[in-house]
Amino acid sequence: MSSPLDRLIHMQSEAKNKATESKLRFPVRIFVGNATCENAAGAVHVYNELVKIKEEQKLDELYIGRTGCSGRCDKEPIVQVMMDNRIPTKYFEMTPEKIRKVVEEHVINHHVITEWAL
Amino acid sequence: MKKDYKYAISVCAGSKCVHLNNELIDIILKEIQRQGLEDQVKVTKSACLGYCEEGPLLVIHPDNITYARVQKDDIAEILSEHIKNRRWVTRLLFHRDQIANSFFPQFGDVDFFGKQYRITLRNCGVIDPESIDDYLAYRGYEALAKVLTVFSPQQVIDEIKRSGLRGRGGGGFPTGVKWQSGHDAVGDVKYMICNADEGDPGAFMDRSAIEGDPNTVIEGMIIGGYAVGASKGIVYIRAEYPLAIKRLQIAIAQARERNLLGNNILGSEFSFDIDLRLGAGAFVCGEETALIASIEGKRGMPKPRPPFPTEKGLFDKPTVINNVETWANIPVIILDGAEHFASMGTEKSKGTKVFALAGAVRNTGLVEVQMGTTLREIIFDIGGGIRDDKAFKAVQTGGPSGGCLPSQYLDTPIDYNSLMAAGSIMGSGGMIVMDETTCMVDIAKFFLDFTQNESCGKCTPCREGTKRMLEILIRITEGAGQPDDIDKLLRLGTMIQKSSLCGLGKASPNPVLSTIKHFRHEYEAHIFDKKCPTKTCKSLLTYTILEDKCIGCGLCKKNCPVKCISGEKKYSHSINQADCIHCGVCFSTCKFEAIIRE
Repeated sequence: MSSPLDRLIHMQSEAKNKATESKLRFPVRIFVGNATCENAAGAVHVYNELVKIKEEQKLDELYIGRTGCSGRCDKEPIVQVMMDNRIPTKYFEMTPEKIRKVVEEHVINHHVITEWAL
Repeated sequence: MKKDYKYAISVCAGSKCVHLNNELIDIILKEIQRQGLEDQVKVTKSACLGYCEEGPLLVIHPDNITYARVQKDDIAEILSEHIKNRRWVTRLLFHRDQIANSFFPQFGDVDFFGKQYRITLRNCGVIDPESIDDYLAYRGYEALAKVLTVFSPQQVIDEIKRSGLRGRGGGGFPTGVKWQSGHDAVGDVKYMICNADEGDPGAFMDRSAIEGDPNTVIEGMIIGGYAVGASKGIVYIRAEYPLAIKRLQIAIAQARERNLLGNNILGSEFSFDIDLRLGAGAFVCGEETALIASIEGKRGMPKPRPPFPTEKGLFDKPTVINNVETWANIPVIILDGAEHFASMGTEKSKGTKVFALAGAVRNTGLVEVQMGTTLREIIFDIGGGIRDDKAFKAVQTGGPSGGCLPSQYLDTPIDYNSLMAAGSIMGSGGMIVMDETTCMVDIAKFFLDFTQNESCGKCTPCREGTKRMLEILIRITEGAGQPDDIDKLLRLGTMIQKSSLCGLGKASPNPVLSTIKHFRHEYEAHIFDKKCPTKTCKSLLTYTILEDKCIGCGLCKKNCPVKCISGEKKYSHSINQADCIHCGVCFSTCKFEAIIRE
């Protein structure tokens, strides 16, 4: 009989593999805040727009995820862009129009839009 | 070409270290090639982690292990040991692999997060709250498994006692002591309850914590159940938090699927399950005996204690109730050890506390700081100071039951005792900052109006006393204050504090008493001079038109709802003070600043 700890460590390593497969292999990962406060600030529209952009532009290397609220209430919606070999950037007060620009400038042209970044 | 990388090494590349670390990155890339790990490892840069003195820092994902003071010669060892052999290079480990604050590197934004230390909120804003895999990948449920494998229930309780954790819902009762009496109580069935009935105006700690990381609350409850010997847990959460409820339901269902809830958890002898009960949103139901009554299907009203819920609680069975934040601390205490938790904070208050920073600060938001941090650090460093460069006036801690503290308390290190001594309370963590334009009488009226509305009506001091106090406050703000009103408020307030049945009543006069203590002159200005110093209380304001500035455009006259302004077009107008209702419409419509308000 394996102990609870053995069972859990097995469960954890499976979960880690899953996380690696589903997220880490993507070179570009964008996380949109998703809590009551974020949604009230319009995070859902930003998320939907991202999904649309991904489809339109066939950005297969892009992973879109959600997270809870990190605590920057006055600057929501917050979007975090993580790219290989680049500093992760948090963009604040995002809108569907702004996120389009972020994908174009940051993800495609590798240029951080500093005035929108935290 | 897309590769299935297994690991990512993230190198701190803040502006201070970027040159130094670019060199390091080159070395890492070469070493990766030399060891033939190109297909497994990729290198990324991270923003400044704020620990420059510990740099250069490397973070390895998905293990989330941070190495500090990494030198060029260490790279080969880190790659071969950590990546190939899956052994951490312990001599370089930063914070010795703690779970607390482990995501610090990812938060970025050093101004806001730099002074924070995240235990309960460690995963918020980082992991996907709807995926138990995400939680598991970052050492989720490891504390539970550890407890089930190597701890006896009494050892768990001892560990919590040693950590010095106190109830985060506001009361500050030592959690370990509460668990001990639940453990010692005799009963065939015992209950664990999570109090997620967060009702303070301007507070959102529990909602955010659950929405960001529901699993940690569940894990804490299971550990508590094991320690106390309970088989049933209930989360009492208000129905107006639909997203938090949904995420809890998802987390509970996923935990059941993996045998983390239910019978024989992880193959052990221990069984435990959790249900949700939705509250209708009564403030008094945050009080534990009222909460129990509400779960039982009765009207939510408090009962005198003793008997305490740990002896005779839900359905007369031994019951342990803790707040969301308290539960979320438990897994971290178990994994990082009681000593680590107790090393933070002040003598009598250990660990961290989450505050919902709101009001007139630049950065409103959810902050988690070590106990003993000063109000100044929270408001001016993390909060970024007062909005619009106004002057700080007061800070209200502890929600409607707390007191307002003026600037001389800014350097008080925050803990349960220091706030109590200053005439306020820790409460569940609301923190409302007020600038110079806030009228303290008006704010006291606002909070008392809230508690008065929420009084359940069971005991007379709270039901009648708060009502009378509110009437006095209303008449003061309307210019009908009487000379002995301040004394009456003080007498009523202390009487209510001493004789109310539950915490709601006992704490309800705090906003009034603390504002009288620190801002008595404002009350006196309202009562004796019939003036509101901050020009907030409308009834006390008079509006006058300046003859030399008025050009006679007629805009104020047109907009006045009671038609008390007279004057010919292109000639100076005037206000008939007897008919004026002090609405202020003329003041805000005038385009020539010809109307003054005093």
